[in-house]
Amino acid sequence: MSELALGRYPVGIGARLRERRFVVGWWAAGRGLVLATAAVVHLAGLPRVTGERADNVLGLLGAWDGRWYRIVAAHGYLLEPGRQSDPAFFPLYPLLLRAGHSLGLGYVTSGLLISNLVFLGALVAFEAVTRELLGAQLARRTAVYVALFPFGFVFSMTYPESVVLCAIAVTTLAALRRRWLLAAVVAALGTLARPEMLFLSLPLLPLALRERDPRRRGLALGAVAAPVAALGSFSLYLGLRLHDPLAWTHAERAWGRRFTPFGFVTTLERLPRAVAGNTWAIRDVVFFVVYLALLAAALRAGVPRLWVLAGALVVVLPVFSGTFDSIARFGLLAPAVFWGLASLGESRRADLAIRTASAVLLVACTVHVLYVFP
Amino acid sequence: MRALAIAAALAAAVVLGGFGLERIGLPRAGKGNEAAAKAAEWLLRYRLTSSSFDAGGRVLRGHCLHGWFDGPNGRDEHGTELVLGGLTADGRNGLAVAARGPTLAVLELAGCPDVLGPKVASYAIAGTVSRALVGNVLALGLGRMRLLVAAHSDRPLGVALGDVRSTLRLTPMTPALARRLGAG
Repeated sequence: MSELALGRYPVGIGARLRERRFVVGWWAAGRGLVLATAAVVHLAGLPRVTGERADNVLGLLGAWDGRWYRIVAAHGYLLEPGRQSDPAFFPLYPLLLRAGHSLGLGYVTSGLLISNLVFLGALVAFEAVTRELLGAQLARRTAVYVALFPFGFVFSMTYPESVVLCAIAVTTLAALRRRWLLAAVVAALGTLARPEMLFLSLPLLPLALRERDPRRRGLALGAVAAPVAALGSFSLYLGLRLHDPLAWTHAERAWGRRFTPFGFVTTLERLPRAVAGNTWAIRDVVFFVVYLALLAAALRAGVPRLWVLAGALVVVLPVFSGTFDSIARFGLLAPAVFWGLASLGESRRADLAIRTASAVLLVACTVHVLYVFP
Repeated sequence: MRALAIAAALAAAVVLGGFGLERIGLPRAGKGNEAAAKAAEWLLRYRLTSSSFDAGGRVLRGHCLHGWFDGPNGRDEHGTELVLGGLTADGRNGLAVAARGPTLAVLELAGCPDVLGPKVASYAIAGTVSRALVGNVLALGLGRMRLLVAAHSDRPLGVALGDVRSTLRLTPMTPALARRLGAG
């Protein structure tokens, strides 16, 4: 029995929803901490940061790259070679912002509503996937830890991370239920929000190859290929609009990101200067190390290897772009990181320590948005 | 074989569906913004502009250079220097960015690449740029400034600010020219 079988077992719906009430509770607790902290920062009259809307009490959560997503939503894509420009930002989130805006909401408000509500869906689906793959105990802890994860304040910002986490979980759930068409659609949508979705194809592949019926197997392989196809659709769009199908990666260069086989050497060479320029750069190095440790913990806890590999690619690949910047945020899209953390919280004492530390750090990390982009 | 055909068909449907979603759902950048982006690209490709403009009935000619200059204590300084009718205004060490009021307006009128280029680029990406065609010249509205560009190439030709209008010529920098102007 599982969520996707609800339609066939209507009697169990109420009981199942009651069982999952804790997810809603922890979602409310985590988001309450983030939103309250952002409001206090605003009301304290601290200096505004790039992209922050001064007229919104939660404006802090619309800062930094949130401004770029609003620009795409309002003005569309425009590539300015050699300068920071918006094709670096994928189209699904701006599309959602436009949908919210068409209902009469401001871009920041619709972004905050979308991110926070979709995050609830992400938690519910992620808990279900974890239960399916790793058991109920780990699923419960995973849901709580994701809700309180220190860098999880990003899930409340006008950033697409909550949408992508939701897409990852729903795609996996659909694949586990052999609903491949749904998996393909959601995987494609997720990729149109963030390219990390591409790595989901790795753990889905064995599930697809398990299908014996040619039609089902075809749909399954199509779902595995859907992220690449979705990326192709974005390139096609950029090619026709901006005459540069790779505008999304070319625009990244203005942020100092350029993938090369020995990019990690550049990253290490640049690190001292980056830290000297802004001490907060050390944050991403710390998270990088923590994520690797959590992936090792996930492996030890029996998380399927392809999930760990996909997580490792999400965390390690950006290092080949010449900078550690934002790895703390990228790692939020590696489910195995959270499974690794949940595996460490088995004892009551460890569980309490992780919850308490996470909640405190979640508030601190929300405040730190004032000083550095996530 | 059948499985692969189905997979390919599904992938093709995703490409087309995704493209359709983006095409229908996202706005297209305004033509004025596109022209401004190209104009910014022109400006940022050059380090030297020659300009002339009418100031109170007197035509001033000058050139504006972006690069490295000999600074005090033998240290090179990076920035912008405008020589206008024998007067020099400079924005070294980023002072041009901090410049306000008349100084900034003059640097913009003179088409200083590292002052005007970023301003035009910012408008292109995040603002609304109006566009009016007058003969072979496009006038792009950037706030209270109008940037005049060639209609077909978007190459900057001049700047209009209030009643003052300048004409610009983007000049390729050569080592000999750099030496003559005292810049690296």
